[in-house]
Amino acid sequence: MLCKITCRPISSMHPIVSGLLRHAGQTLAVGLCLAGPWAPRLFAFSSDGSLLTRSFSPTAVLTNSCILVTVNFTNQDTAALRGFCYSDQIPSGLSVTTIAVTSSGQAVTNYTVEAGTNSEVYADCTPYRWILEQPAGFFQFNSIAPGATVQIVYALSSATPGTFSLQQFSWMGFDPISTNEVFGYSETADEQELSFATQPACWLIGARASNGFLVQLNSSPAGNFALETSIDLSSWTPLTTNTSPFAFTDTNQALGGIRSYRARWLP
Amino acid sequence: MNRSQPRKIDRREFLRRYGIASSALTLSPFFLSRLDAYSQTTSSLTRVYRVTNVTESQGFGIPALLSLMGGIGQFINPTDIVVIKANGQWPNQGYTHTGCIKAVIDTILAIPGFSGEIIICDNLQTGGTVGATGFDAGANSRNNNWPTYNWNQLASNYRSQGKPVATRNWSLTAGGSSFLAAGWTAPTTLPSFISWNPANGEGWGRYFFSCGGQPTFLSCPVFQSPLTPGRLIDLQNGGGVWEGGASGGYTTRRVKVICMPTLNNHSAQPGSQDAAGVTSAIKCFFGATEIPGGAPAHTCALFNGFYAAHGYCQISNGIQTNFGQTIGMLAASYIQNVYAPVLFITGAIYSGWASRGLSAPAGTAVATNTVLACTNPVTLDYVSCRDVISPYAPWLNPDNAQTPSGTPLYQTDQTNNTRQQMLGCINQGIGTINPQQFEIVTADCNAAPSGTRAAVEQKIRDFKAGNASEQDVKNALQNYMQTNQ
Repeated sequence: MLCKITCRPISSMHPIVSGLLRHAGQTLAVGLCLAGPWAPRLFAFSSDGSLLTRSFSPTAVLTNSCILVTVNFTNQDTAALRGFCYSDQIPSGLSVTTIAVTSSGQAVTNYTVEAGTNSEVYADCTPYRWILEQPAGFFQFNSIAPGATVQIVYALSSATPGTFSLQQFSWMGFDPISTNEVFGYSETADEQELSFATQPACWLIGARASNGFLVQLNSSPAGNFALETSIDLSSWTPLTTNTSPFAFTDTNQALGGIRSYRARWLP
Repeated sequence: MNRSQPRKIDRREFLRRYGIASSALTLSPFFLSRLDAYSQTTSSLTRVYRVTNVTESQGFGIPALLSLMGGIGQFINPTDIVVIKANGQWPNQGYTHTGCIKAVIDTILAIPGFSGEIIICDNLQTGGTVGATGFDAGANSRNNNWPTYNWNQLASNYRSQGKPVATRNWSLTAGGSSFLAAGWTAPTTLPSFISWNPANGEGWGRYFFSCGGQPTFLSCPVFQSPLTPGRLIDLQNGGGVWEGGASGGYTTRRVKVICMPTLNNHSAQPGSQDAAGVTSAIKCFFGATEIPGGAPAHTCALFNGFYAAHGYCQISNGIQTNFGQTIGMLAASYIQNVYAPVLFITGAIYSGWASRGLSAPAGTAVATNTVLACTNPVTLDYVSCRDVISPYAPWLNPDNAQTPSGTPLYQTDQTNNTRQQMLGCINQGIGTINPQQFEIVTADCNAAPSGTRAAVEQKIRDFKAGNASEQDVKNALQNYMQTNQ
């Protein structure tokens, strides 16, 4: 099966459900804010002098949201590389959408994305391949010059919650000067678990307490939440991180004025 | 008979050898040094590249052919002005297959940063027949050729997309008048090259010499670029680009010539060969030089006191004796004294086994669906004739009816003029037909892929698990890179 599709930029795909609990004297508002962590992980490995890295941003999101995968390859050989193909073994259940393929910063438009068959190489995995040039003719003319870089960006998503382990990837190419075949592959350190979770329903309840303001957080199902406060709805200060349900008393009420509270889900 | 059998050499071996040779060819700025480099680097084996069972969807095999040779970048640089010297005189299969030309153009345009020009050129004897040449063939003159466009239409289509492709019929000036014999200056001694100064606009550089004891000339044009006003494309001295008019000068750009011949029997009658032998790479030089009409044509008529390439300049007692070998001698002289094309590509999508241009009766041409390339025209023609067209026209097999020992080199029978072409070149140091001195590198577009990406990944998986060696992976990878289509 061949496919070549496009996807929106990650900035517009990131899921945020916002809301807040505002405390101004007797007035309370209830809200919720959910946002995933944004902490890319970098792994590297090298083979035959060339370098490929694969990073994820983030590693846990809501279902139907995207995790961005960025692959960077540098040809560290002394000759142009032909027939380059990068392959990622994608666990069953994940959808793959190519975002961009560039070579030394220039967009590549005539690459091919190929999805193999399930369990073709690894059990319960479908190989997705980004092919810059097809042998034997290489007539796409996407050779990779010495020192040149290739970046492949794609998004992974899942419609159902779960944890997926991305274990295997590899690349291959042909070096016409040294008449050598070159390839590389992932190592144990390159394995990455990705989480897709369903958004829990949650709510905040506020009440005066003798020593401040009491915030009660309930959710269904239970989950990890970061409780934060703000006086201007712009900058937010962390109060605590805990597993719902939990209660927290904000004892810093002497400042007065309107204070808002939000809970941010940590999938 | 000892024949060089097609040999599918190991890709690693091929690229190792060819990579060295092609680098030397490309880096040499002038054709003489290119020739020198060429002769040095081919001291081992000459190679002819052949792709069979080609289809239009595969670019008529041209991308695969050039890939076998190490890529078009081995021959063309991004700033080059590329002259595609094709065969345009005759209709139907008689002119170079337009689809093949298009595939070569597409490959050149894909060179990263290409800023040069591509111009399809030829001379036409007496101007050719309107509507029946490669430049302007009407729909009914495109049988056994690419039906979509003639050359002019193809170039026009490129230009409509903003791409620098044009045609130029060297029979005519840029203004459309006769270009023949423009700026003629007779030499005072032989041999001598009388060059044309581009500061004076369009003209011809001419090499005067003695061929077979007869005064002869060969020429190459200095012509106005159809794409860039004020730019003159000068094929003299290995090819330069002049800009700035009378007070101008040469730029750093170079001109590269790719010859793209047809593969045809010149005779109009099945079963017979023309005195010239086959029409292909060697004979391609007929249209590189000026073609006087002659009076009458095809005789020993002199033109301004000199025989042209199309005249029977090798005569004995007033009788032409060996036109085939004369053609070979002239082609070799052209390469050695005028300019050397960087590459020869034969587009044998159809081979006119019984005619160079007649589309009727049916069967005068056959779909051979083959493209071939070489850096010399001799070995290329030898392989083309022996392996591609002679199964349909055995009188064009250069191995048939070899000259008997003790007889003159020329032959008047039906089977040897094509070989004489080749011998004429070889005797002057160009090319070889010695089976011990060349080999054929082949690719078959019908070959089922025996290497797959999945197979490579499975070997990598096995290698990681300790169930395969690194060499096993590389073997699978090489198999994939060599055979996948």
